[in-house]
Amino acid sequence: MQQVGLHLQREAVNLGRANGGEPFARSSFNRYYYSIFLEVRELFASVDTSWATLPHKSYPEILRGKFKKRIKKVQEIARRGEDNILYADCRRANSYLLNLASLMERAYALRVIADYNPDIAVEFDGADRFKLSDTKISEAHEWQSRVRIWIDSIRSVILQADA
Amino acid sequence: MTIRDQLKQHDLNVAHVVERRDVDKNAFFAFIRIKKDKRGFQVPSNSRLSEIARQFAEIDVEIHFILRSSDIDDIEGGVRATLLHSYGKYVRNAFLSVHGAAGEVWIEPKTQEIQSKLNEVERTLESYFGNTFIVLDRVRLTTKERLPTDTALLSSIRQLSPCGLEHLKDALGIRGFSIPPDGWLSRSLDRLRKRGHVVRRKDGQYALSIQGLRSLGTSKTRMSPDVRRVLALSRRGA
Repeated sequence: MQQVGLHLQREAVNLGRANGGEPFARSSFNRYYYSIFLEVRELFASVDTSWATLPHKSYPEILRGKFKKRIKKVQEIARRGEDNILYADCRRANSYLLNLASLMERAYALRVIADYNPDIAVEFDGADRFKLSDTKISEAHEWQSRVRIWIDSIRSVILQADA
Repeated sequence: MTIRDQLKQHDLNVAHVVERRDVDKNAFFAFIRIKKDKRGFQVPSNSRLSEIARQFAEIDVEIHFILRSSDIDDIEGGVRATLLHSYGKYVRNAFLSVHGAAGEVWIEPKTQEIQSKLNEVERTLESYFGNTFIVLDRVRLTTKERLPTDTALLSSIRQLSPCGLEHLKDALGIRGFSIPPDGWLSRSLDRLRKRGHVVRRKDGQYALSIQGLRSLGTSKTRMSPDVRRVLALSRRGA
C-alpha cells in the first residue's frame, strides 16, 4: 500500500492539477491511510484474531479501550515486580496508543474527504508537493514509519508479560 | 450560523470543518488546532471537547474532532531538520513523541555507526529543546534490539521452572526476544534473586519464589499462565 501510495503521489506531481493529477493525489491519501490501517489490523490480530474483522471506525475506540486496559494490566504486573524499565515502557506505550488512535482518526477523516468530498480541492504547490485539508502529502507518506515505531513499542510491552 | 462559527464560540482554534458525505446523518469533521500548556497538558482538553460534542449531539449534529498539534509538529520538524543537517550521514529520518513534557526522539539510522554518535546527538537535542517546553527524555533507534525485561524473565521462568540458562535462552528466543549474552542474563537473574523473586537451586537451576509468583499474578482466561505451565509440564513429560 505504501508503495502504491508513493507511486500515485509521484504520478500526481508529474501530472499536476492542469493535467489531471488531482484524482491521483486523492488516491495517494487513500492508500497511505490503508497502509497504516493494515499495520494496526495486524497488531489487533496478534492480540485477538476477532478484532481484525472490526469496522474501521471502531479502531480508535479499541486502542483507547481494550488495548489501554491490556497495557495497564502489564503496568500493574511491572509495578508489583518492581520492574521500573517495563513500568516506564508501559507509560510510553499508553501514550503511543493515544497517538495512534488520534492519527487513525485523522487519516480516516482525510481518506473520507479524499473519496467523498471532491468540492474540497487538493492544493498543489507548483513544485513537488500537494496537500489536502491542511495535511501535506509528505506527512501522509511518513504515517507508516511513525505507526510502525508506535506499534513496535506497544507490541513489545505486551510481549514482555505474555509468557 | 455555521458549525464553524458555533465551534469558534467555544474558543476553539478551528482550522476547518467538513461535512461528511460518507454517512446518512448530519455529521461533520472539525479539524481543531490544539497546543500544550507549560505542564505539557493538551489545550483544549479531551473532556472539554467531549462536552462540546455532547452539546452538538443534543441538536442532532454529530461532530468528530480531528486534532492537530501545531506546536509539536513544528518542534518535530525542527528536530528532523537539525539531525539531518548535522548527522545526515547517519540519520535517515527522525520522529518525536511527546508524553507530558517529556520528549522521546526516535531515529531511523542509515548505518549502525550512529551508535557512536548518540551522546553527541543527545547534547544537540538537549540544546534544541532548550527553547521549547519539551525536556529530552531519551533517544532511541528504530532498529534497537528487543531484550527481555525482568517481568519477561520471571514469566518465562514461571513456565519452565526449574530451568537453567540455556533452556531459558531458548524459550526467550521462541518468544521473540533478542537472545541475551550469558553475562547479561546471569546478572539479571542475580538481581532478581537478591530482590527475592527467584531462587537458585544447588544444581544451578532457577525457580520462582512465592514473592515472584505473587508479583506476576494470574488470570482465569483460557491462556492463563497456570494453564500454560501445566501444558509446558505435560510437554516435558513431568
